[in-house]
Amino acid sequence: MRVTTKMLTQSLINNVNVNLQNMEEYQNQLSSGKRITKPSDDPIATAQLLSTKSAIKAQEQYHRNMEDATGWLNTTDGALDEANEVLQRTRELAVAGATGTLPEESLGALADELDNLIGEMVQVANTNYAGRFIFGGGKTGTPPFEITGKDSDGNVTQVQFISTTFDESLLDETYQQKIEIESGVTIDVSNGRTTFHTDTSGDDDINAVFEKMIELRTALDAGDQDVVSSLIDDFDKLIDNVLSERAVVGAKTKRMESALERSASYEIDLTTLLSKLEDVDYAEASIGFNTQQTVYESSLAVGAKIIQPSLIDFLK
Amino acid sequence: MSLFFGINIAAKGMMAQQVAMDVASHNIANANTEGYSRQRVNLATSEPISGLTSAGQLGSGVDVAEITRVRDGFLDYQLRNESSGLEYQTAISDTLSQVETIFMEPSKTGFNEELETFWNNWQELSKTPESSPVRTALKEASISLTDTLRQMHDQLTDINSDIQSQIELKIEDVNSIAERIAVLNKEIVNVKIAGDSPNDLLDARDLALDDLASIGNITITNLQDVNGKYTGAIAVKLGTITIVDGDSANIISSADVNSSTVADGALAGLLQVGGDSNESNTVQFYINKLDTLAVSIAKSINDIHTTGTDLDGNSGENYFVFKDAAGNEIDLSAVDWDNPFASGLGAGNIYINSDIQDDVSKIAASNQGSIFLEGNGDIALQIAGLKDVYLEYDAANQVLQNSTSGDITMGMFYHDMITELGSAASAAEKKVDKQQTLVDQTTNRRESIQGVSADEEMANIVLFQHAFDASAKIISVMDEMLDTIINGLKA
Repeated sequence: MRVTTKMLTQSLINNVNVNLQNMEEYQNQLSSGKRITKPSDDPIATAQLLSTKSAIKAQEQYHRNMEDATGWLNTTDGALDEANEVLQRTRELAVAGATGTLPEESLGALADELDNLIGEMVQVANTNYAGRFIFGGGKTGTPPFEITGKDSDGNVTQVQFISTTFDESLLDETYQQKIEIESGVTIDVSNGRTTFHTDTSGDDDINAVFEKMIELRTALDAGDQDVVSSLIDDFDKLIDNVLSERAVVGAKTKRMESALERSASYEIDLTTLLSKLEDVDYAEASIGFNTQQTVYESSLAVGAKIIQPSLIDFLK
Repeated sequence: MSLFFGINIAAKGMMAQQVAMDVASHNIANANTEGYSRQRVNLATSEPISGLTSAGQLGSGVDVAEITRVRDGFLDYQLRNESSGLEYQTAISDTLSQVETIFMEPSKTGFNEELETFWNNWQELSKTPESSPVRTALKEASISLTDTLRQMHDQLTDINSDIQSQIELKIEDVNSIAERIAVLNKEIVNVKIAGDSPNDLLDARDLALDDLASIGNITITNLQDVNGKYTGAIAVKLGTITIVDGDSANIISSADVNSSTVADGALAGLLQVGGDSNESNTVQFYINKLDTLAVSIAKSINDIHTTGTDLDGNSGENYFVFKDAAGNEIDLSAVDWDNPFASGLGAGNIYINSDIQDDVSKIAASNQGSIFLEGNGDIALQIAGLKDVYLEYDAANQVLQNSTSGDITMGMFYHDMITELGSAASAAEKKVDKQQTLVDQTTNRRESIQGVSADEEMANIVLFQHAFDASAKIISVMDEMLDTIINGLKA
C-alpha cells in the first residue's frame, strides 16, 4: 500500500485524539469519584442507581418518622408514669381517709392535697410533644383538658375534655395519629384513651378520672368515710387502666426500637449498593489512567519521529 | 537526415521533463489541499519517422500525452456512503447527549431527587399537619418540582426548535453546493469539448460532492449528450430530490425534505431526532414522557387533595393546575383524562395552585371536619403513599391510569425513561464510533491512492532533472558536432 505523509499525520492525529479521549474518561472518573456521570455511561446501572437513590431517600424519611414516633411514645410513657404516680398518691389519700382514726380537720388537709393532685393530673393530661398536645387526638393546637368549674373555696369542681358537647362516639376518631414507618405500614401513636376516658367498669367515659378524683375530694371535704373507703377499689381499677395502657405504649416503643435497628441496617445495605453502583474503583481507575497516559505519551513520541524526516532531508 | 533533427528530439525531451517537473511542483504545492488528487504526466513517444534510415522507423522523441488525476471513483462512492452514515449518527448522538445534560441524572440536583423530596415533605406534613413551617416547606418543594418540570420541558422544546434551524442551515448549504456543482459542470463540459482533462475542476466538484454526502444521501448520474457520449456533467439527487441537473441547480426548501425524501446524512439525522416518530432517539419522546408524568402527578394528587379539608375547614382545591398560553388556568373538570394533552395539559405548564401558594393553610391535609381538623394528616399520608401506588401505562394514549393490575409507579416511570435515554444515547455513541472508524479507514484508503507523497515527488523530480540534464547535454554535444562540421572541415 502506498503511504503518504498526510496519511501518517492523519492517523497520528486520530490516534492521539482517541488516546486523549480515553484519558479524559479516566480523569473524569478520578476527579468526580463517580463511575457514572450520565445515563449513557451505563444505562442499566443508572436504572438501579436511580431506584436505589429513591429507596434511600424514602428510607431516610421512614427513619425520621420512626424517630418521631419513638419520641412521641416516650413522651406518652413519661406522662402515663406521672399519671400513675398521681393516682397512687390519690389512692393513698383515700386509704388514709378511710381508716377512721384521723380527726375531721385532717381529712380537710387530705382534701387540700387532693385538690393539688387534680391540678397536677390536668397538667399531665395536657402534656405536649414538640408543641403538640398528645392526649387531644386531632386537636393538637390547644390544651385538650381544661378546668371549667371551681367552687367558692377555689376547689376544682369540673374538668372538661375539649368541649361541653363532646360526644363519646367521637373518641374513635380522636385517638388516631398515624405515622408511616414503611411503605403502607402505619403505627398509631395516639394513647391515653384508657387512662383518661375509661371508667372503672372498662367502658368509655369522657371524664372518668377527674370525676372520680373530684368525688373523692368532695367526700373527704364532707368527712364521709364510707364513701371514701368505697372509692379505694375504684382507684385500684383506674391505676390498672394506666398500667395496662403503659404496657401497650411499651410494646409500641419496643416495636419502634427494633424497626429503627432494621431501618439502620437496611440503610447501610442500600448505601453500600449505591456505592458499588456509582463509585469509582480508585485502584482500577488509577491503573487505567496511568496505562492510558503511557500510551498517549508514546503516541506523541512516535509521532514526533514519524512526521519529521522525508526524502528532502537526505537530498543534497 | 540532419543534425538539427537530433537537437529537436533533445528539445522535446527537455520540454517534456519540464512539464513533468511542473506537475510534480503542482502536486507538492497542493499536498495539503483538501480534495486534491495527485496528477500524473503521461509521456508517450512522438510519431516516429519512416524512411530516414534504411534500418526502419526512427523515433522522433517524446510528447506529453496527457495530464491525468489519480483517483478511484469507487472509493469516493464508498466514503460518501460512510460519511452520510456518520453524520446521521452524529446528529442523533449529539442531540441525545444534550438531552442527557438536561435531565442531569444521576445527581443530587436531578428530578429524581426533587420528586423524592416532594413525597417526603408530604410525609412530614402527615406527622405535623398543623405546622406552618412544614406546610411552607412542602409548598417550596412543590414549586421547585413544577419549576423543574417546566424548565426541563422548555429546554427540550428549545432543542427541538434548534434542530429546526439547523435543518434550515443544512438546506442553505445544500443549495449553495448545488449551485457550485452546476457552475463546475458547465466549466468541465467546456474544458472537455476543447479536448483537455479538467483535473482541478473535477477535484473541486468531487469535494463539493463529499460535502453534500455528509448532509444527505446522494446519487450521481453521469450525463450523456444526444450521441450517448459522456459530457463530463453530472446530475445529483439528494435522497429522491434532484438538486443538480447539468448546469442548472434546483433550489430546495425545508418543505421538500422529510424522512421519506432523505434517508441518510446529517439532514436525515436531524429529521429523525427532531421528528415526532416517538422513538427513543427523538427529543419528542422525552417531552411526551415528561408530559405523561406531570399530568399523572397532578391528577393523582388533585384527586386526593380535593377530598381533604384545609386548615380553615374548607374542602381542598386542586393542588396542581395547568395554565394555557395566555396564563389562564385550564378548567380541569372539563378535561378528558384519557387524552389530557388535547386540553393542553403537560409538563410545560404545570403550576401549584396560586391560592395554595399564597396561603399554605389551604393545603388540605386533613380528612376531618370540626374540632379534630388541625391535627389530622390522613390526606397528606394518602398523598405521600402515592409514591408507591402502581399504575398502568396506557401506551396508546400515553397516560398513566389507575388500575388493579398496575405495574409501574410514577418514580419507576421516570427511571425507565432515563434508562431509555441512556440506552439510546449510548447506542448512538457506539454507532458514531463504528461509523467514524469506517470513515477513517476509507479516507485512508482514498488518501493512499490520491494523496501526494513528498518522497515520491522528490524522487521523480530527481529523475526528471537527470533526464532534463541529459537532454541538455545532448544539445551541447550536437552543438559540438555542428561546430566540427561548420568550422572544423576545411576545404
